[in-house]
Amino acid sequence: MTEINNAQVVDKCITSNPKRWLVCSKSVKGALHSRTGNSNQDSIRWKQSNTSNTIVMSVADGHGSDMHFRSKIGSQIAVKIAVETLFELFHNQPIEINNVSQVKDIIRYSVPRILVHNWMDRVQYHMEKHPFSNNEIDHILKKKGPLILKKIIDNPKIAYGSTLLTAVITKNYFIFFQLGDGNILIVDNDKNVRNMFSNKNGDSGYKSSVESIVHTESLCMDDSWLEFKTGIFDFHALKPKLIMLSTDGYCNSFNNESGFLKIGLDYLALLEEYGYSYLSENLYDILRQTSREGSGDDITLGLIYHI
Amino acid sequence: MNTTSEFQAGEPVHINGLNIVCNVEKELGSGTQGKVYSLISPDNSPLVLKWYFPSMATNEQYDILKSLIQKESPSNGFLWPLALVKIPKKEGFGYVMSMKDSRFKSFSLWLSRKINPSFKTLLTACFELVQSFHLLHSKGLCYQDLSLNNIYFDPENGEIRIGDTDNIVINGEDKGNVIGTPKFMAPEIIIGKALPNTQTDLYSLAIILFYILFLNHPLEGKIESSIKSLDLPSMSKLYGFEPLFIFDPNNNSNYPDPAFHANALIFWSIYPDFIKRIFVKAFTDGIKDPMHGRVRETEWQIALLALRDSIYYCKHCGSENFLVTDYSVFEKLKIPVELGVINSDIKVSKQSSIVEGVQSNSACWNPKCKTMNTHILNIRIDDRLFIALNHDTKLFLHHIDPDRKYDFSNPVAEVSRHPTEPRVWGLRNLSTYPWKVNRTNGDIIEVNSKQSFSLVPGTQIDFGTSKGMVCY
Repeated sequence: MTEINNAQVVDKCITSNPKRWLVCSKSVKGALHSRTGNSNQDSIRWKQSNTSNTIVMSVADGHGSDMHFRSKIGSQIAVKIAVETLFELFHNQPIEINNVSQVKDIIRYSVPRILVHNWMDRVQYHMEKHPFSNNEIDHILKKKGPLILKKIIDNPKIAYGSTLLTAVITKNYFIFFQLGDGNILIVDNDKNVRNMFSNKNGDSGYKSSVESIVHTESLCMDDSWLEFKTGIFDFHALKPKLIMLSTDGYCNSFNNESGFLKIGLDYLALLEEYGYSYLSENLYDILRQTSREGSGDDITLGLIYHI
Repeated sequence: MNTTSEFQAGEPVHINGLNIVCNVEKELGSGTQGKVYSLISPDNSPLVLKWYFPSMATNEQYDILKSLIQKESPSNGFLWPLALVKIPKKEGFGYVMSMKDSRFKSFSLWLSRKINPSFKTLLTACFELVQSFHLLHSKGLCYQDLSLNNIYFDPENGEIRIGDTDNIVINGEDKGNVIGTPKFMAPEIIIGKALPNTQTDLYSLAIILFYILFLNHPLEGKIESSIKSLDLPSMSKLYGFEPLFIFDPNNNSNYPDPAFHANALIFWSIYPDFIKRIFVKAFTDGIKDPMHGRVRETEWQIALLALRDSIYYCKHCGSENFLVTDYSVFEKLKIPVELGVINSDIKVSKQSSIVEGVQSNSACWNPKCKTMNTHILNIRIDDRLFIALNHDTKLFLHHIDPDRKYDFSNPVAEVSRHPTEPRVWGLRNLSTYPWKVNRTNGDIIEVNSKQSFSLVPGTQIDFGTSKGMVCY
């Protein structure tokens, strides 16, 4: 098995499966975070089988605000449990035509709950090993006041809040999970770009100047498994050439969704014209520049390329 | 487009079975079986085309569709195949069906509480679902693959639509690509002792009803939340080899885990005992004895309608509550009353005095309200039915004519407000037949069509086909 953990996220991490897929990923600290001294709250992890076509890639975006002061750890736990749990399920139990209907409901109803459950268990374990320090408590008290502090002490998982995006590739099927912000883009053989769980009903052009007060869905919310979006597709339904998972720092660097969607074609063109070595070498700079000129947020991108 | 199993917008589709030519409008979606396209039809009727992926376009599937098209749809609830489609130079085949109106929503929206339908709506949807399956089964057909993913409802009125009808087969014929999905599959299928049939459909139906009314799977309790890694063996154990109802009165080892199954606990405390007993039967006897222990469609229909008729609005907060009746009514309704004790810690409290067998002073379930509601007006009909009387209650032939069970086509009576005295409520005759009303002072009056009488407890009404009494 090839496994990359998020300790290496800022390094080049690229591998090739001689059968079908190339995987490449990179995570950059946001330009804004660099200026304020905050760390990169995103995590990415993936695992690829050497014996089958199974690939699981997961991206998570720790919320990073004062209330979620351990969200880097929360996002690391999220990608780790997602990759472990889903690889075990789909590598050991391949989906075939004769059992796809059996796993459809497991994917839709059981997998989200077990992901949240396992995330909460690991968060609790981390809390037991590393209770909130006086520094952390003082910081929250000073920044958010006693009520919020009590809320976090009563429900420590809030401190670890994170999103979670995961793609599973098996021999015949593709499965996607998403909780919270971020994007899963599919570029197909005909160069159509599809935003898997687009929140927008239509591209309304430029962003509203008033930010929505609705916060992102998160693993730390009660009953968060109910908010997972899931999808399972036959190979013929998608015919993907390139699958991309990104945290919302990428999409937020564009004025509108259609502008963002074009990156799917840009990356495909880069891969086809210059090859993945070139992309791998330059991905860090591309993302860094995007963050600097765009959202200023951390950006993480995972690419799975069908050769 | 380089594959021959896909359609472009505008492409003509000859539907020989309907003798029309349509054009593809757009792709609506794709999944594991095939792609679905909306069609532009000559008479603007909303049609969709489902075209199978080559691997799914089997001869068996073709035969199933051919057989279904020859039969008529058992009810309007089914999105039934209308015609087979084969196109020269296109790989595989497809079929045409009516398009589901956009007012029909997936039950997953309710599970994630994105919509908030009333109990009345949910119970109407449950009743319609059971009725549709009753009709399907009485035609000798079996659905095979019933799950929450293929049923839809209108959150405004509970009307339902059932999709994915292309897997319906004749009961007993071992055909079809699917054997159901584990969460909705009868245990005997999972353990390999049976193939889908109408009895296994009944089990799936009970799961769906429980999901809709309790927002939880009936077998997902503490045992499920203790599973750390997902695999088919652990799922087979949970749903097939060792299924245990979360509210099994004799074994609490799979009781809901409050961290993961809070909804089950909340809703279990809201519903009256009689409906809970039916579910206990469905998931104890129904598991142990698939042939004789399952709750039949008619039992569900009676119980669901009794529950819907028992809804009243809290006088303080307006929340829907359920009027509790005594056992004698259920005996007449043929609803089993002694199916084991419901766990005592969550048993619905019964604190009220009994007036004609109806207990009408329960606390509102709404945790922010908890108002004690007393003297809820209701009407008992021939000791056969009771109906809570709310500002919007309507009676149908189902209620007053024992020979017209389940006839909800036209209301025969409605609660109405006095035109000049808004505190006085009455029952208006919407039928064309006069009622004889025996008032509490001994007067007997005739209430003709469009006329009303005052809802005073003790008043008796002769509807012609049955007799009613106003109670509270």
